[in-house]
Amino acid sequence: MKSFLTTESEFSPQFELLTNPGEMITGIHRQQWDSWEAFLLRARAASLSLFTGFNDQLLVNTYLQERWRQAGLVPYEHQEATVKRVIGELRGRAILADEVGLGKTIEAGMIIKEYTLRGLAKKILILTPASLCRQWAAELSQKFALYPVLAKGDFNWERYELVIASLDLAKQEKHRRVIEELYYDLLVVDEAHKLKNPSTRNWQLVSRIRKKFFLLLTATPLQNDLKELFNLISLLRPGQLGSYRHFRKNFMEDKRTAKNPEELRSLISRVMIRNKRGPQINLPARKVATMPLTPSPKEIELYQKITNFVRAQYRKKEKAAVNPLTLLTLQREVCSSSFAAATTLCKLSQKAGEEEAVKILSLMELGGSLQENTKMNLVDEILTHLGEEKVIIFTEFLATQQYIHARLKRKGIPALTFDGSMSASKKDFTLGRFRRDPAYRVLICTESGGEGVNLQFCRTMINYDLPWNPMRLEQRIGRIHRLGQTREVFVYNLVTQGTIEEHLLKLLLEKVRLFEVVIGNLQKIITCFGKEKSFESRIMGALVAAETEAELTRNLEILGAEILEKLESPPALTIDTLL
Amino acid sequence: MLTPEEVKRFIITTLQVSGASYRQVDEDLLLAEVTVEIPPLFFDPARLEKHTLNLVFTPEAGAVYPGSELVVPGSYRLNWFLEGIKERGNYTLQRFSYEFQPAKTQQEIEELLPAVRQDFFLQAPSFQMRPYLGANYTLSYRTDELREELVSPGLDMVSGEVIPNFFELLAAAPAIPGAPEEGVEQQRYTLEQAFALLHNYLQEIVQAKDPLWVEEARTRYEEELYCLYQYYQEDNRDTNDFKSRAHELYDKFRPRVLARLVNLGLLYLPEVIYSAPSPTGKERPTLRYSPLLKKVEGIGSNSPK
Repeated sequence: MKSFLTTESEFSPQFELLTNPGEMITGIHRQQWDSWEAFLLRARAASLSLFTGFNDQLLVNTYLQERWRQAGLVPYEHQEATVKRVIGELRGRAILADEVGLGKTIEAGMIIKEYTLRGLAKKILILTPASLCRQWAAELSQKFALYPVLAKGDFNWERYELVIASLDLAKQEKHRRVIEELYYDLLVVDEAHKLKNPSTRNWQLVSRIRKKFFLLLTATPLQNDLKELFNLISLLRPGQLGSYRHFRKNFMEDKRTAKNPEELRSLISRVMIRNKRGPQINLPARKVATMPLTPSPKEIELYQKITNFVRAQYRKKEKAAVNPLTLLTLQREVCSSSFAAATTLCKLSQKAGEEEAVKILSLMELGGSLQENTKMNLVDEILTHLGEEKVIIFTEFLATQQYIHARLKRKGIPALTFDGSMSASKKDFTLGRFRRDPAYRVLICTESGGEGVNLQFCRTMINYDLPWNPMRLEQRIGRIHRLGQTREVFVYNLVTQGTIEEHLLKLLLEKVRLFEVVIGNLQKIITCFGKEKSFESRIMGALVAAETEAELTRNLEILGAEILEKLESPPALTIDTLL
Repeated sequence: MLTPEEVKRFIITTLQVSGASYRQVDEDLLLAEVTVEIPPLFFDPARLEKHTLNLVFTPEAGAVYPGSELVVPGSYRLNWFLEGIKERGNYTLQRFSYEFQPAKTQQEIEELLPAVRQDFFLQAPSFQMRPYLGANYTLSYRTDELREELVSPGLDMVSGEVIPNFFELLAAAPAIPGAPEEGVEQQRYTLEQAFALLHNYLQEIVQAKDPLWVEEARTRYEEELYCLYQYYQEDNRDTNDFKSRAHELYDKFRPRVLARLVNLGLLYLPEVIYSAPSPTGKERPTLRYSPLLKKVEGIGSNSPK
């Protein structure tokens, strides 16, 4: 390190003349003289544009005041405080780790704009998941008068000053080589919890990019173990937590238990800012209604036969003709719609042996004989009750989405669909249309379509089916119940009686207490169940082990008790326990 | 920090210089019609559009005039005007006049130089115009932070002397567009030489500055470097990686001063030249008085002191 400590002369100011004297002389010879008044005014303008040093005032607030006033946008206090802290105390390198929905993108946008207004950042790169590139571009242009270029194909990285790119694109060899040669004033990486392993190309790319200021955005900086936290923070500011040897010795009891928490907290808080929901950050209330429905006799028959088939196959374990994940999907699909189940059954029939194929075909025939699903009757009722209110209907499955869309169309209710297979421009167009066109009251979203998208202009949601992972359900609701939502939010959960859905919702409501918005608890539950036995597979296990409804109820009560025990146990390893 | 009144005056001056029409409705509200360039979009070419702006300069006035736009230091609209005026006033050619009144001029000289020889005033003086190169530069002091200042020197193209705050001295002087047709003193410095002298002057300013900004940046740099070292001191870390990151830190914190020219003026300032009888019969002593710069030179000889 000694060779890098500088001498006085190495650190003395280097004078650079940015205007070429030759150009100045040419300008004089051209004799494009202007008036004395214009000359003095030009100098006056230059003096008014000077940046005369850091103080506590953010330039971005004054600069964008009019724009925000017209857009009805007011930055929250916690956002302003974050921006000031990042630019001041944290010297432009920070992990923005606010809880989901508290406006990390806004904070990042404010920081980007502040640095550009202060003349400290010109060449800026934003790396995000591909699905969020356009959303970032829209937010930056609408709210911050920043006009980024979206990188795609054979992109000229040198040419553009403000660029948004997906990490997947940037890490491709031909792009990586170019990016690593450039120097960025500011690098922003969204969903940075994907950067926890130094052996991945993602981590290596981000680490090698040369940059002055650096922001990492993630709502979940710590998910499973302390080493990942070390890697993330070392990406931002290597040495903040010392060497890994030092860190392990001083701060890790084991990979999931911290020691010297006070000191560790102090070190983390010097590079990370985490805002959480609480008295100072208020969202409007969310109101949740459980809408039970009684299925038709044929739907009951289909459900029971499929459940029996799934149960039988699951118990065969290695000898099963069907992969357990497929069985899990099939079980979830039959709770969603007969159409979703039919899709998987069709695929299974093509691969199954003779004996199984007969069973599967008979299930397909039964499913195919159902032209309508009772759940849609309930959706009709809800939509009628809601009048002109815009509604988002969430479903896990494309086939269900298509059915809902067709059914609404037959009823004369124009609806839009939104799913992960859509191109970015189509997604933008669809969302814009849903937002602005009063003719389209309903947006039918699948899980992947809704990822990261902000829909807080809408306040009503129908969960046509329930994901078995409570975090995913919370993420759905987070599309509308987030900062920027000004109205009460209404969530309708459709629940088919006599199915696993009914039990699941009971579990989520009573044990997980999902809808009480205790994000920390959700994290705890998911973390505790770990990777091997995920929450979904525990539910499946409970279903498969039961022969009767009573047994199923009992099995899920045991799971529920386990959840409660974990919630009440000493806190698991989360960033909130560390901070 | 500019007051609302200063902001308003700046806007009005900008509108006047650009030839835009405006009307001050009352103390609070200014209506202006400006031409805005709309950039090309898809297949539409760039075009010019007239926009009417309703401008107020205090939040209270904004409440009185709904729909008006608040213009305050740091606001988008003020920055818009500041950016817009960058296309104007880049070069100017001016001469300045001076109304010679013998007694008054003599008094001015005596105030500057109480011991001036009275025999300089026995004969009527001659007049000439001396060329100056006046320049406004912004100096940006950059580390991981930024501070800027405006420097406005003028260079005497005859003597090579640099006058600091040159334009402050001329702010109230009556300027006439164009160079004088006659009576111009022969300049001794070419434009290239003049710029070299100005740039030396800028470097002197930088060197004379309190080095605290450099020292603080160096402290921050060394803190960061030490932190980095903690991470890389383990055996299996890549030293090339460490070097690369250390260079990155150095690039972030190293001090640089960037000088950018704002605008340039070729200016001719009046000089009043007195001469007195020579006691030796050889060269007559001369006294040169620059009334706008409030400067006297050359007592006893022709060359500047």
